[in-house]
Amino acid sequence: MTTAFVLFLALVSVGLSVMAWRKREQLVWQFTIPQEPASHGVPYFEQVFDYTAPRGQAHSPSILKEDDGFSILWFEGSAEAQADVDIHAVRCVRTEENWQADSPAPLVTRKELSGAFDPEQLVVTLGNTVENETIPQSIFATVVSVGGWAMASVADLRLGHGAAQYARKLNLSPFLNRSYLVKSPMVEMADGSFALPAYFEMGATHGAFVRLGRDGRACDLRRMAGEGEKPIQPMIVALGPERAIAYLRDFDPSGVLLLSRTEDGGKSWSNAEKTTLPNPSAPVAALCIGAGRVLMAMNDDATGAHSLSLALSEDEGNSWRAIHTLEQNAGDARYPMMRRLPDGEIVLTYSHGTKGGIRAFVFNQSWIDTQ
Amino acid sequence: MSARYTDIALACVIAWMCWGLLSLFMGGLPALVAGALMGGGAATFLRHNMVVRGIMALFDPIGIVLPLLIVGQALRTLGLPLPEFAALELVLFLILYVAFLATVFGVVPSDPYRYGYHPKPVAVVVLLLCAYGVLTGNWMVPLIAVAGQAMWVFKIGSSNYFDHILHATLVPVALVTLIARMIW
Repeated sequence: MTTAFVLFLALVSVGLSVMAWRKREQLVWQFTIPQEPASHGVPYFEQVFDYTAPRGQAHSPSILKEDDGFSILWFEGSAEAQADVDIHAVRCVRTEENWQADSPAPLVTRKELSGAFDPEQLVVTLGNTVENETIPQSIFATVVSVGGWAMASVADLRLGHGAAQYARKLNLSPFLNRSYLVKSPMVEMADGSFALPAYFEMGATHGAFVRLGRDGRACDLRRMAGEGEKPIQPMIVALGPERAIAYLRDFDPSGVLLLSRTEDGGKSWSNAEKTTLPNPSAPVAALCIGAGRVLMAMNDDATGAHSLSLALSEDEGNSWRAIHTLEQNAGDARYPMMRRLPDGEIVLTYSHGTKGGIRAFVFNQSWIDTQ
Repeated sequence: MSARYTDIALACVIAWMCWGLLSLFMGGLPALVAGALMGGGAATFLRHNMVVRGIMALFDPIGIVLPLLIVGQALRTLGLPLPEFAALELVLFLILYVAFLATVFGVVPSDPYRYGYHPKPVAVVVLLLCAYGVLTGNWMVPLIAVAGQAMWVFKIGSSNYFDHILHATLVPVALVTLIARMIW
């Protein structure tokens, strides 16, 4: 009797497997390579937002592209990881003369996000955010329900009418779905989908390259591990259809930036290795600006994050030269994010004054070319 | 669909916790009934309560394994002859599952969890668990495996198959069960 029942279950399983095979996502393991925008127009580098939190801390800004400009999102509260931290945002729109920022305001509170889950889930604090480029007006938010950052999860959060409408967690870890966080923007793939750089912050730590299906659910995950190093916060730069480099922060303060490579469109990543780029255990922002050129915003002093610079590589990251100093000795300037807008302009944002506030700049290709 | 299933799974988990606590003070059957009422009530009427939201956040994704094991335990309390896991099975499960969890922390340089996103490895795992059921005569394991596969295929709950058939809370549960069997 038992054998017959189990054989029946096995038969059902075969049917389910056929169904799953037919419904499976056909992932394309190739990157989209951004076209190099034409270098024309007057070079400019314009500060569009300078904000100091009225109290407490404002940190880890991200950029959400919009039709008429962009929004900067960051977390703000009495201090990082405290139970009064919410996501704040400011909209920046282009006028005929220049860029103008609205007044900053809370975008998503912990209570709103908690209620956006179905069933509701406790949200104690919020962290890094990244735009979910697969679905308009959506973000991935780092959410903590218990413990600290090492117990965080990544929430796929849909926004609508300026508020949280729907949330669910990406399934990334077998350990209570814990310890995955996000920091850097998504990577466009050749099939029009986007991959999410994420990282695991417990134990040995590793970076992760998460593929998402059409329904926005995680459908594959590849690791960027280290041997002795503790790689986190991957910043992925695609250099060719199947070639990309990921710059990773070393969670142990080794004093240098780590690097992992893929030669097969993200299917496999080399073990993170040390570069010669000095780094005070801080994330970087990088952007491929065409023809093997990579622009990077980085803390370039191994002893601390008081210095933030823009550097340019013209040989796919093999050598670098500083082209502009953004911050120097005015408190820590950290967690840069850089993204290209549809018309070719580049937005750069970071926290300044040791998590005291947020700054954002917009510049163009001509400005880079004149540096 | 996914949210309503999660409501039921949450009710099972809360009922199980209440049942466990109440059974310290009252008989098995009354504790079970009271626990079921409390679990169903909490998941239905206390959705905004911080404790219920906290349990949901802590256990998510609940998967199919916890509700099925809880229902199985309840049915056994009601006198139905459902198969139980032998001590050796629990020990082997603990060794294998702890090793599986260790891979996520980089203790073992492997990532078996990622195969839970793909149909072929999932099909192999389910059929292996069915074969295990045939060999041991324990149909609970194949039932969990196939029910989990159905949930995964129909996108109810996690997008990773292993989240449906495994849950980190099974480690303390299996340990407590083993210790209880050694004592009694």
